[in-house]
Amino acid sequence: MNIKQILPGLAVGAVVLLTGCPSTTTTDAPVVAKPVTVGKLKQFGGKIFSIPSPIELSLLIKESGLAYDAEILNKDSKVDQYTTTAQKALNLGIYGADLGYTSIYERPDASIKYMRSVRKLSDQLGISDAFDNKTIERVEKNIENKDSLLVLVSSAYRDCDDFLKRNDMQNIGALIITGGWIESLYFAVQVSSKKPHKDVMKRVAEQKLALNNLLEMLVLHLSEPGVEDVRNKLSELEELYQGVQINYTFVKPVTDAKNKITTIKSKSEPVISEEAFKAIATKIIALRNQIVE
Amino acid sequence: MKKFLIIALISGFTALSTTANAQMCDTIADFCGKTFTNSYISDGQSYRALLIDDQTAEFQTTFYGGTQYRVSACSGFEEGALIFKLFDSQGNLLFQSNDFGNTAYWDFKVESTLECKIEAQLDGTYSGSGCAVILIGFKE
Repeated sequence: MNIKQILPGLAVGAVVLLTGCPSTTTTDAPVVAKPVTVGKLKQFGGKIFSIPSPIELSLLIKESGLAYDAEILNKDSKVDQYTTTAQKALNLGIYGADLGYTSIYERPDASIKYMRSVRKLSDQLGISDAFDNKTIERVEKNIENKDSLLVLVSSAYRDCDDFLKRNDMQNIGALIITGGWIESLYFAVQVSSKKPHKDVMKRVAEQKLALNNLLEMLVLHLSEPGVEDVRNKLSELEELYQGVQINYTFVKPVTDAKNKITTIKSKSEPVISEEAFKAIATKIIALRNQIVE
Repeated sequence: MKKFLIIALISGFTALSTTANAQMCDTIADFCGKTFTNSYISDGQSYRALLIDDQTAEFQTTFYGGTQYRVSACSGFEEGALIFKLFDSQGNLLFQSNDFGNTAYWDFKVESTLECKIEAQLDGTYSGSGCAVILIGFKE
């Protein structure tokens, strides 16, 4: 580490020393947990895998013209029945996805209920900093404004992710992300079973890529309670995803420097049989129901 | 006694430096988040790494077809301290920020779903913090 990197740290450290300890726990732990360095290559946050936001899938469901369906959401009244840390973390992810779904479909009353469930579980998990009173107030203030609500909820989940990484609680973060991913997939297969939609089914098939990342992420936390069980169930889902083939062709991207945008024109096409889709859908429904029950 | 004091001082400075780095990374992440306007929704995750000299950090992600993404890359409070590159799963280079003055953010309109890899590296000519932050957002 060179002096340029050390000096700001020492300077801020001296300020902390002179002004006393920070008032919250958010600054007590290292920012990057267990970085893995292989030669000159380092992986973000130790070994972090990016999992797509559940909101992306819910947006596609709405854009596909599929109607709002409250029946596919987890009941907010179940929030008190989750007792273990793993159950709480998985269902925090599930309620977060439900909150995203109700926000997208502009159902403020339902959004408030799910926000309360999210708050309750995050309190119980000791991560209420990300969903503090200020955030709740801002969400409630913007409850009628879908766009602001989605930005606020997503930012709160990013704060939550930051907090967990700083405090060496990545196992909880992994379960929250897993819960959100499973719930969004559950929405997709449920709405597809009622009214099949080509784009939604295609997106379910494309989850093969995210599932690989998710499994690799969970493997890092197998010694933590509840993680191995979820990983094993997702491994069964992975086997079913072997029936999905993704054909990819590289096409040179086009960049518009003036508008700071690159259009990625490469083509990919998932190939999935109806039978394979049904098997995947059945497994996702069973997995999700086991988590929320 | 002298040896003990030296060890205590080094340990103290190491702990302070770690805490300070954490605070600095938080501040950089907040700063980086400002490149997201209200039309971009965060993916709910924050990707960070402490880099030294010419180390490279990387992670895999999925970009969905029909979606526009914004990737923001920061390491300090001035634009250009972090170079980022985007590759597809076959290793084809799709974008590199140093072609565009180390821009702090870039948008990607994705026609077809793809698995990609994002790599980040400090630009040695800037007095960055060593803390690399990448954020991803998507447009509704």
